[in-house]
Amino acid sequence: MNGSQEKHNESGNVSSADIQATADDLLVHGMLQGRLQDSPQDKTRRVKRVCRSLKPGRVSFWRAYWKVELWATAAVLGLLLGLWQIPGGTPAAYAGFEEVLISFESGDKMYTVDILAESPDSSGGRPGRGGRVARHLDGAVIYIRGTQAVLEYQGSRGWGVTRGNDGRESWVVLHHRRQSWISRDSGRSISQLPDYVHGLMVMDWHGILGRIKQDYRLTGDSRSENGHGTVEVYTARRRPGRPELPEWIRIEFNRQTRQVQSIVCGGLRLGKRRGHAQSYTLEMRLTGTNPLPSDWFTREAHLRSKGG
Amino acid sequence: MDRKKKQDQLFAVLVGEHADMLMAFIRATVWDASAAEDLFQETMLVAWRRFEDYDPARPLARWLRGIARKLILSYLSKLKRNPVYCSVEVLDALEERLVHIDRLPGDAWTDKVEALAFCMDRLPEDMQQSIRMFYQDEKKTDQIASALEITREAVKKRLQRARSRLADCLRRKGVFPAAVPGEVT
Repeated sequence: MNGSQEKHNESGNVSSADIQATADDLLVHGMLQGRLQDSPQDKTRRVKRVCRSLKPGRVSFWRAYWKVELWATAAVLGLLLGLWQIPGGTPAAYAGFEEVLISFESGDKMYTVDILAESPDSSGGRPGRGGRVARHLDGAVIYIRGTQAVLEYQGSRGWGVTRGNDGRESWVVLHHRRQSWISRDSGRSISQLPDYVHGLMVMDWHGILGRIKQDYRLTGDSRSENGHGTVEVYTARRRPGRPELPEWIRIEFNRQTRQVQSIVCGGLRLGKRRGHAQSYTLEMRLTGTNPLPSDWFTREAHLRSKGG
Repeated sequence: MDRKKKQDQLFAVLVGEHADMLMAFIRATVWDASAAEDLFQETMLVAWRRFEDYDPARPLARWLRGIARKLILSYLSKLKRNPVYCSVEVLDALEERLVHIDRLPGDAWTDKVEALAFCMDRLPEDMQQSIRMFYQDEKKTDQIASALEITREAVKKRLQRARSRLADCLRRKGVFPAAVPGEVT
């Protein structure tokens, strides 16, 4: 990328002049990236992410233990207080989970996506891989109606991307180019975008949940929420041999409202080379249940809405 | 408002003020874009945790770069090939330039390094084109070579020469410190 690395003599020592020239070269390299690559939105998002990480309850690289500790405490308390337990243990969890899947089929829902980096120690992977993908999906919004879905996020340089699946075909709209692509195989192979696997994974969350029965060990628990009824918490841990799937998935289902409040996928590898990628946690939180326009999940609606 | 909350708000403002400078420093030494973003986040979070230790009498920018430098060295030491270009001496020389920029007039980093736009405009057309393709369009050197119908080595050389010219121009404009007599830069 940069000629500075060749600036050393045969003995491997670097002369003072070369050090100065290398420092010039590197700093100009860093300055050019800031000037030519970062949009104002990129800069705002970067600062916002730091500020969000500072809020209590957010998990950061080295503070993942905090969440583990919290969940361990909650689990112990749950057991001690005997608040509620799915009868019969795991088989009852599978039975209860059927109802959760059925509830997905009715009504329109809007979720917001948060991506949190996990501790490098716990992932065993190299830091950084997949970070670009994670950046793009962080803050994304996903709309769901049955098996149809629309995902809105900001791609490179803050350009808007909308990805959808209307049950017949899946599509992508790049708003800045006013271009779109269609795939007839229900959202399995749009490959024009480098991060299609990961976007698709978010899109295909319905499919992933459907595979819980065969690829995960499922347990259930519950907790009461002040004035909002009982929330059932389902935790699925991946069986060996499916590295492309999240290591674990936690689903919070409110029996009173019959809504899935959140879906959290942990141990997710977002880089192309998943074996070497850092792991991430993807959180989807329910932020709306208002009915969407009838054609909301079609490509045409999104080309129109953005003037494409 | 309690002291801790005020401190958090102050820190959030300082993050915004120093983000561009810190990213330039990190990107100068870490060329993996994702790793650079992660190191930026990590630096700011370490700074927040240690903010009570920070001495307000000292420049904050230097304190932040000190944290970033340790994290960068730790990151580079984990790479299989520790880059020659990123020795302690080079990091010291980088710091010298950044301290010089800190002292320039202007509120924000972009004000202090505004001369970069002036210098870019004065590059020869072929260099400007290569710089824009590489940095703005984020094309790889072989893609640029193919588009311009020159060899990849020629592209790399052209980019290096363009950066060298920019550094000379920034030095003339006072953004980079003047060269010490006897040094060849």
